[in-house]
Amino acid sequence: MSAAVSPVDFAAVFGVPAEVGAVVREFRSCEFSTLARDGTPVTWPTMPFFEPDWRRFLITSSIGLAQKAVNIRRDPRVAMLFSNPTGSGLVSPPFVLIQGDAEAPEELGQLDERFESMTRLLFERQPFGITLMGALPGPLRHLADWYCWRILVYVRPRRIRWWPQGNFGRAYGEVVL
Amino acid sequence: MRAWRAITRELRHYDSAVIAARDRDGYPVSVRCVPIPDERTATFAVALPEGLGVESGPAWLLCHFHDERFWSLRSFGARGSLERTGGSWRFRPARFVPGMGGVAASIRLFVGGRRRARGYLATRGLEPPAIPWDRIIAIKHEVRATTRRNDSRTTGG
Repeated sequence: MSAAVSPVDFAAVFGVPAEVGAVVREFRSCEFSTLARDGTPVTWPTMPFFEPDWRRFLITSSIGLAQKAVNIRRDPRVAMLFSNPTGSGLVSPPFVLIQGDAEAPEELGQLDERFESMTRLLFERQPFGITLMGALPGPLRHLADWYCWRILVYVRPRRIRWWPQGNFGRAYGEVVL
Repeated sequence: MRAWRAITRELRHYDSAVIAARDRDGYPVSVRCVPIPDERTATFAVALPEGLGVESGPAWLLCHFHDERFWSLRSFGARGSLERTGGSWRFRPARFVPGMGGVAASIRLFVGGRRRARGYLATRGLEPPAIPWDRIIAIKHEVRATTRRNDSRTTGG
């Protein structure tokens, strides 16, 4: 199932080709890089949500897996690579590399309207997650609370590059913001 | 050499990897590549596109997988350095970093994550937020019902 296309999506907001917007909308994950204390980029897959009204991405992370937030508070420079099209339904999509500046406020996220839509999208895209979520009986469910205590990470793009047809050997397109 | 061996062993389970380094402005920069092991130098040859301003220095190698339904997650990372020699790039690993996949990794994630989460709250003097499980379970049921309705329409059921 695909997410509904926002009337103002990533492509419209940043003036990049529609297929780049489709990648941001449909890819299940991106490879998210932050910088460790010694300057090493540390990269793990994550599921980003684009917020067109704010021209930024929202990434959430359990406070039990908070290293990326700690890194960002020290050095805000990050990168997001969209290079794994599995599950997206897209054929020969471009690879997309977004570099930007991130912030990770100390306050924790709440399950408000925005989180409801994110939870819904996650369940749509990860049906086995539906089975597991709530598989613990009620009295034991608090053991999984920690995973839902989320830090919010916001990423504002500074530079967007894309390689047509997922081929790094081809000339890339670029928008610098 | 231990890290190189561990990576080489795990690489067999993946079609490609992501190599991340830094550019001239200090930002992380990453591309997908197919690392080629070289046992003699305990490095991996990686191809990087021109024009990205990639610098030699600290680097990270990531392999990850999920299936069409965003499940069967598995991954590993490796800390090391990126070196430019004779016009080509090499990743020299220093440490293998386990990721997701398998029972041991799941237990490590759950137990370690819970412990670190408690520590995060304690360090900042924060109260554990209440999780609205009833609402989350309700969303789960709504999504499942919608998915079933759509599937039955698609299959004519």
